[in-house]
Amino acid sequence: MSDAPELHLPATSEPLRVAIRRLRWFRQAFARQLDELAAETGLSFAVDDRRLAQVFVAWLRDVDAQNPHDPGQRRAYFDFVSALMLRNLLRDMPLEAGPLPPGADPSRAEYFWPEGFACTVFCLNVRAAVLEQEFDAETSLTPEFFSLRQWWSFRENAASDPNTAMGFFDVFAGNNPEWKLPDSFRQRLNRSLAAPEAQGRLG
Amino acid sequence: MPSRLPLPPIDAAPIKDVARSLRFAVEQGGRSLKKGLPLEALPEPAARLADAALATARRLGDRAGSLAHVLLDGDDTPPPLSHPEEAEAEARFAAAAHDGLRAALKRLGAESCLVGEAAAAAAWRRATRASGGSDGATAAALYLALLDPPAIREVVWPEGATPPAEAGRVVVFAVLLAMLADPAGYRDLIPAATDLALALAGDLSAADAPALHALFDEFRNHV
Repeated sequence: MSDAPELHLPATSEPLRVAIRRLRWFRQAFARQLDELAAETGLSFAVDDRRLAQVFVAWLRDVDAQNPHDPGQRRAYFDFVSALMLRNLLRDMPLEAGPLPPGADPSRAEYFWPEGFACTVFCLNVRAAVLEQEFDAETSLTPEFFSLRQWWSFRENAASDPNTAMGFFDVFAGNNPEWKLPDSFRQRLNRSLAAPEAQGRLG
Repeated sequence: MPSRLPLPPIDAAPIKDVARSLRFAVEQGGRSLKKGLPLEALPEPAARLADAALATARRLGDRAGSLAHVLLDGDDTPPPLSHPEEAEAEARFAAAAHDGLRAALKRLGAESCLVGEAAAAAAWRRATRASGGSDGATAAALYLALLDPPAIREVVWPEGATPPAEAGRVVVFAVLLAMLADPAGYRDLIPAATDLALALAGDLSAADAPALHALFDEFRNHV
């Protein structure tokens, strides 16, 4: 796969940052990502709706708990909460992939780890759409996203500590990863203040 | 010719409850009969008699269902919980709560259930008399009133299935959350509201009125 799979988000009259915090829209967007990924790769997925709702509730509470309520930090916070969503999805994994399609190449990330790949592209795509709408910002993926070696490490690390998923998300999105306390927005802010050169990427 | 006095409005909820109870009892009886009677093994005329009894029970259930259906008229959207004084608010709430609770229980996997519409109406009277605050406070009062005494009278789960813990609390919270989120479109919100409520089952188990109010306010914009 030379490009990341796209996501055509469900229609909404609300800003995406609001829509994504409604369970119905969130579920529709997630289901659409899986459908589009399935059409492109031949993979199949089964979603546990109840578990997905638990992931969503935990994420909402995480988002509210760490919200800095500082307009100057909005962009950095969108990056952070996107990574947080991925952490929660991988921690409580609400989907299960079916058997690989015939001829699937397991050296490609989507076949090497279908569930992790699906969750990651969903979070990356939603983040990209929100940043485009809120900041008119273009986003791109780093070469690491297309490296099986990275995905192998991502999978191993996330299995033992789901928080590390946030660091890998930052790597794929081109942000400066926070490995020490990835699930603390305060830590990110402190670090970006200490290293102004990193702020451009965060903010 | 003397003009006739207008008839007082009929409270349909108890009549609907009777019809629904009858239907529920007949359906349950039919199920028990089917489970308990080895119809194939029965000799004649016992087999014919059992078949006829089941057919009669089904017809009775259908008639009771039709009666309940005939009585289902008027505005079936719940009143905004911020305006409990709206016209026919009690009856509209009771009918909507009945339908919503059934839909939420089905979402949880219940095979069938019996919900008291008159009990929901009584809960509305108690809660709106007591709360007198915001719609979130009304929802919290309604939640407690719908659970005690319980508006959900019977639930049948599939054989061998483990019912979700706190199913009653979950579905009552779900229905009220859906009504708070969008009274006009609450039916479409029931599946998502039920899944949200299930994820909050731990919070619901010991929540008092202020905690419930806070939970409603926390999640009403996230269905």
